[in-house]
Amino acid sequence: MVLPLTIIIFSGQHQNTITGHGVWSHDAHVVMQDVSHIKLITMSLLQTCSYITNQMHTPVTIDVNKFMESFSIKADGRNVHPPSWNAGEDDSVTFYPTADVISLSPLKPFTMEDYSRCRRVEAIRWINLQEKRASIIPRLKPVTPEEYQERRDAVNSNSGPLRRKGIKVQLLWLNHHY
Amino acid sequence: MANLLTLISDKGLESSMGFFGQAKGHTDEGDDEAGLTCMISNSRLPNNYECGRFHLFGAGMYVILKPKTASIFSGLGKHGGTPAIAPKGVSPSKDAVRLMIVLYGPKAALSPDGTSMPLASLPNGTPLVLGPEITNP
Repeated sequence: MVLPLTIIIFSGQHQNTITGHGVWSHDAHVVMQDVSHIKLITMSLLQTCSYITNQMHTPVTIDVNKFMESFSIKADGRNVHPPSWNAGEDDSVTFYPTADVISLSPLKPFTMEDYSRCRRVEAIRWINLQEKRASIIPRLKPVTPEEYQERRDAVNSNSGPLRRKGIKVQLLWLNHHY
Repeated sequence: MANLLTLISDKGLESSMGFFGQAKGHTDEGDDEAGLTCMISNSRLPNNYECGRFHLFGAGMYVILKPKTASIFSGLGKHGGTPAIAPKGVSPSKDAVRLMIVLYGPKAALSPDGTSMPLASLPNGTPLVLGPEITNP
């Protein structure tokens, strides 16, 4: 008996390769402060959770600050949490420093949509910095202004190789009955 | 990254460092455009040795690699170095050590749109990699 099985792959068209530089969770403490390391790991977990919940039919809201607040490390005898996020009017983000006790009640809930919007702004700033720095480096094959613009467009676009999308794939599941 | 040469070679750096020791220089294509490399010389050499030089080809300059010297540059520009050299007629000392500490910003860490560093290890020994569809805003 052959049963059709449809799965949805949430992926872009981007080919991703892995470096042998190290593993963030295990090795990053060598070059990062503890609080930066926990911030990096919790942000990665947040992105992973968002990626998974986006695959559900029911829209799921994640309160970014409540998620981040649930993680802490001991530093100098204190419980230190990743910083809280608060969106500004111009999509800039304000970080509330790590503290023993974080009271989030006065803050507006910071959702994944806020998070993505602020990160896009930061990503554009980073690409602009790349372009400025690269402009003074003598290279045989410099990155062209058009390529930098493509990077900016990829960040601002809602589709394209950097964006996740559901692709329906039909597999044939072979099931033997005797 | 640390480049440690315990023997001072008279054949350049290529025999011990391969691609990164080529006299004609090289570029570090895995570096991020917005990140700079900091190279610190921490060699231990007798005072009368030539320390070796670090050349930045595009800028037309070099840095004499005296111990405790730091060079900050972009690895995407062509660069290369020469080894420490003992005085003429003197056999290189076995205690002479050329040590270079290189701190650099890999694109895989700073702009992981095509190459990523794994976030963690999974139970079956495979790496957990967050691709651009997960990490990009």
